[in-house]
Amino acid sequence: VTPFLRRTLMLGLVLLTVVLRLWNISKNSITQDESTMILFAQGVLERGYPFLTQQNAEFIISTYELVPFPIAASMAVFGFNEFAVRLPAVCFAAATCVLIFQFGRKLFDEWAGFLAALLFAVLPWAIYWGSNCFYPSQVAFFVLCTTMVVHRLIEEEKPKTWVFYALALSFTGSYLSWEGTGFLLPCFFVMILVLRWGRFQWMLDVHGWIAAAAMIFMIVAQLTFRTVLRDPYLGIHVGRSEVSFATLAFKNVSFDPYFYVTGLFSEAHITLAAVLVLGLLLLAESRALRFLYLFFGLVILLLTAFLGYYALRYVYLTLPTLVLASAGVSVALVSKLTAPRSKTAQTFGLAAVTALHLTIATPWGLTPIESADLLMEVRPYEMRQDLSGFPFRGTAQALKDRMRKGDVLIVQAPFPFQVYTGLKGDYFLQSSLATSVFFDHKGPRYTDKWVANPMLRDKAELDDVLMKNSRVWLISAPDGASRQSIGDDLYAYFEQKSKLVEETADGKLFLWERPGMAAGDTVSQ
Amino acid sequence: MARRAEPWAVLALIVFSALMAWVLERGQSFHQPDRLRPAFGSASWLGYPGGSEVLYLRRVVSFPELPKRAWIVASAVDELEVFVNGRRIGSEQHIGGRPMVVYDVTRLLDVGLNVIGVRSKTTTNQGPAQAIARLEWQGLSAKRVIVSDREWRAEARQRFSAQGTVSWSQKEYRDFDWGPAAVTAPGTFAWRKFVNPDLPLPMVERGPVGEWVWQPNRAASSAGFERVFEIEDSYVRGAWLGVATSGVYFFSVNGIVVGPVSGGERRMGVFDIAEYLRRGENRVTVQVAGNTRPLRVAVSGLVEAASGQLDFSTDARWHNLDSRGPAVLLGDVRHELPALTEQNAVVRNVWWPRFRTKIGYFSITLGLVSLVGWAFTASSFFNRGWRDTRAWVRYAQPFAATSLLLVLVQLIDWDPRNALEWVYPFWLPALSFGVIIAWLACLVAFDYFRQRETVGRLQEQKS
Repeated sequence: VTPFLRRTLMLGLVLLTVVLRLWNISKNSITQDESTMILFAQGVLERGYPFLTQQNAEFIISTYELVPFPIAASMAVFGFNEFAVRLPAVCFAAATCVLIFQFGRKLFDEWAGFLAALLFAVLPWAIYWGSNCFYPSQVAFFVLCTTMVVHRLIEEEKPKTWVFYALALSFTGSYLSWEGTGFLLPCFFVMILVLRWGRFQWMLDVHGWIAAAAMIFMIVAQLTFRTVLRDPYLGIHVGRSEVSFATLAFKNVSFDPYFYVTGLFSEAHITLAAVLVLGLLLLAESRALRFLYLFFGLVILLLTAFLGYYALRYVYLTLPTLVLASAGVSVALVSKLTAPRSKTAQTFGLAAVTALHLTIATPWGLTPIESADLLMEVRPYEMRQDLSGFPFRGTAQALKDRMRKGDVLIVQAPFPFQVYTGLKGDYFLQSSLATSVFFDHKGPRYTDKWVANPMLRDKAELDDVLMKNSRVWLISAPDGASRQSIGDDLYAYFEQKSKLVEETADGKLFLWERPGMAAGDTVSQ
Repeated sequence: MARRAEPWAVLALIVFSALMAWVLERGQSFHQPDRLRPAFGSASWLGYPGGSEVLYLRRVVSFPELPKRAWIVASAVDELEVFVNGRRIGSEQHIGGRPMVVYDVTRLLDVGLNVIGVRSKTTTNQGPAQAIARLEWQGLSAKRVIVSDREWRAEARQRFSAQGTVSWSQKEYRDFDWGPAAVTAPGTFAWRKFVNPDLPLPMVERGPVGEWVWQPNRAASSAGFERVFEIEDSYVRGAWLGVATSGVYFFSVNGIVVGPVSGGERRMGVFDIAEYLRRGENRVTVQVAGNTRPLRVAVSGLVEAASGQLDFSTDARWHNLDSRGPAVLLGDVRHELPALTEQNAVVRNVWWPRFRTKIGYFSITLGLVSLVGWAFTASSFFNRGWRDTRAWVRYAQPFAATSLLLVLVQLIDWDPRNALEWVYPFWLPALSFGVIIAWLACLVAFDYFRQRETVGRLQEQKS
């Protein structure tokens, strides 16, 4: 392959990656997680560091520290809209695609690099996170950088000094994008140990120790800051967002050893899975495959056994490795099957394998799971391209169009609402402990965990608010989750008293109006 | 075969044959060539004029008398709920598809005005919310069919009246400000996305039939009944068993035990038993126990076979397992008309029924064919390593080709059993073996003739 052709191929792949992610970038409303990042990014634009305001108090970011900065930069240029906030994710996806191409070339050959990058460009899961401003796109990029550096460290007889510092730098990028990547440190250590067995001089390199000390210092500092800031001293109920450290997850009743394996190898990933199984036969002869399989296996093992909660996005960082391994195995198998026959047969074989992958692994390709009448299975939403997303934008817009001065707002998901309207709402309605709440000793009262709106816990507290105001809105979006946290009885109570102003697939906007009262009137207390 | 005997491969082929024979023997059941899917007739898909994410459909109908039988068939894009006279009778969701429901509403309809409500919402990019429905009402002398059309009223959000006390699906609600529904079309390839209803239409159409039965000792707290019947047909399109009793029951079909299930005299739980039946003699038993006395049980059984319907509902041909005598008949179940409800329960003692589904057969056959192919490959690999890949490529070829064929069949969702009913259930192994054996025969023949040619040439050279 000539350098010109290589550059052209790479440019084509980047263009494909960008176009597929920009195609519907503004179609769906921002999600709850995205809204959090956007508010922190607004903090960066306001004061230069990521923070948000809770009841006039400043809340500094203590996880995903690096994520808001690129979003803020994009917002500084394009203002606030879905395109602007999601653009950094697209850029990270494009950069990841380039790295995959280069790494694939290095590990296997040009075709493997091309196939891996192509798969990354078209996989529905990659498209989803490549157009979502939460952390996965950014963390996948940094983790791939780190993996490439580790590979260099393993392969070089005497690693150069800069490799250690590059490792520290790229790992810092990963860790500050999502602290769950802390699991990569033991994983990389085991990989270096196993794959450089007998060549231990790297352990004596002083630069290695300096880099290790820098990484450990960064981890300790971040964890300390996060623990001090996030520890729910006055909070009730602990959820996913309160997890700060590794736990013995395999001792929990919720331990699910197959969660990531079944999630990763469903939907459009079926051919990848099949090829990876065939690749086991090639492990004995391919060092590159041993590197990729070991990385993939260790990450899945550690995240399954030591992370207290499961979410498919936690393993998105392994996707570049997955497509690289799959492409490497595909190309190797074709070579085995056709060698030492003609070049034409090899080219035909490679084209056939690429076509097979593309037939399955694209949003518009064949969907074997659907075809196999297994639609009733719960399919991971991140891997589906046909879902219409969350209802925040439509509901917020409907409220904005109808709101009057003096109206009181009960908001169940304050962050997305704040992003779309600039308003934080006044109350939070919850009769159960579906989400964690905090005790505000100044009130004294319980508040929601996002913007510290006072929590209404029962009919009496809700009636108290209704009595004192003329118009009260309930923004129940997403309606299913809101109904669950509000509680069926309290929800039905408000539903009967109020008028449903707007309804979308999973969002409802209710308005309660005091009969005979003019807008803005307040009942004297 | 070829140049060198491959003991591994031969062994694998034998194991494969044995496994396949075993699976077929254990899993031999009736094939259902096309699942019975209710038809909507002249009903139209309806939506809110201009489109909406949520759709409320309402139809007021008047009936002169209580129905003998009445049922609703409905479907929607993604999700639907069905209401009758303000009562939510069920819901189904199938994100990305078309959930389909059948409900027995015989006991929910009144004389005079009745309100049928359908709520649907779409959570995918399949266009606006849309739904379709068909209500069949059978009176003593007349029959009426109400289908979704422009007569239905549509709204895009939930509505109440009378200070929130009267819901949109209730009779008392006045829908004067609702507009007529718009007739829509839910896009192409919808046929792929329909999901069959849990409650079978043939059972609902027919309604509960059979006799209430018990053993001679009416005070007994438990009893078991059995019925043996023959099926001569080559395939069945569906088979169901409905049980109504005030006790707790188990039932078994040809030794496969289902239950325990908590019963009810006013409702008849319906189970799909097609996959447990077989050609020839079939044995169905029902065992009931309970504290409320006197106990009784009624079973409605229906087989939709190739030659027509076969009824095995409780009658004098059922006999008591304890006394070995005929069951005591206590009256026709149709006098009380329990409502048919979809029922699921744990299937006990057997693991293989689940493998008899279409996907199970495909998976097993595909897996075994691939396994043997890989056995050939591995055998050759351990003998020669990567240096000479020709032999294993040749041996694995027929298996790979068969695997690809099966994968293709699976991907395009074409079930050849529909066209090959007469060889079912042997078509899949037959097809696999046919392809493999034919291919191997070709290879052997090719080698044989080439060898003969080479030998001939050598002899020519010698002479």
